[in-house]
Amino acid sequence: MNDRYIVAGAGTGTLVTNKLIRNTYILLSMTLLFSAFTAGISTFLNIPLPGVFITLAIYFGLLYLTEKFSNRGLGLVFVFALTGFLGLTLGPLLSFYIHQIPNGSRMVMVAMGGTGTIFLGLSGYALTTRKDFSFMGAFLMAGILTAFVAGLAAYFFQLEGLSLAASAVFLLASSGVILWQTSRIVHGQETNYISATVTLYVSIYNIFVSLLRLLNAFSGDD
Amino acid sequence: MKSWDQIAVLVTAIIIVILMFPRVLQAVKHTPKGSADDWRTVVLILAAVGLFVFILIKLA
Repeated sequence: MNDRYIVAGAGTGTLVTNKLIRNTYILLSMTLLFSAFTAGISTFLNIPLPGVFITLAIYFGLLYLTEKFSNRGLGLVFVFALTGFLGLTLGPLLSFYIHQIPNGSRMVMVAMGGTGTIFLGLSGYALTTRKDFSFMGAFLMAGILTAFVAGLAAYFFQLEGLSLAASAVFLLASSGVILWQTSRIVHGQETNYISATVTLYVSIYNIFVSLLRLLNAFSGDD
Repeated sequence: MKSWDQIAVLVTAIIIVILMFPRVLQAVKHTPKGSADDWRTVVLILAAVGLFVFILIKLA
């Protein structure tokens, strides 16, 4: 498979950067539409969540395969497999909010709008100011790892407060990842649009799910 | 949740943490240091995100 379709190039010229940004945003839009489609199917057919273990195993498996094949055309197949799967996992969550929670449909719409605004605002800031946020890398990795462990501990021990704290950390860390990844694209530190798309997509997904969780907990309707 | 499922989740989580931890340490070593001004910008941006979320919660 010819790598030139995947890797924008090793140079840091404006043309290369612009091409990478364009390819990343096109692929990101396509994956978001595709996951909205699979979420719709999952909601319509009432497909249940496969369980935490299977969900984690499939998620990390597809993430690994996407990164492994990110320099080949096959990477695109795994990007759509990963985002389609994440869309499927959103279906039961959306069904729960829409059918079980009073004012749930409004919460879903607010979370969608909020996620879009956060993404566009942060990405736009990093693109227009061209600030280098690469110094955030270790901080973000540590934050996400901490939130992941805290989220699992909250799930095991049924700790509501810890679960909400993990959601808040996930939301802020994912916002930071959007700044960091966009800055890496702008400064030529990220040259692969498949990797860039996956990072941005997972951040958007995390922000949406965390925001929905926080809205449900604090909006006073539950 | 079935106990085998809980054990499987726990084992998966431990594996993920074990796999990620060296990458975090490596990232700490290789990440460039940000200045106080850089971190102030990040704190302000994340505070703005927090404020926005607070407003959304009040609106929802």
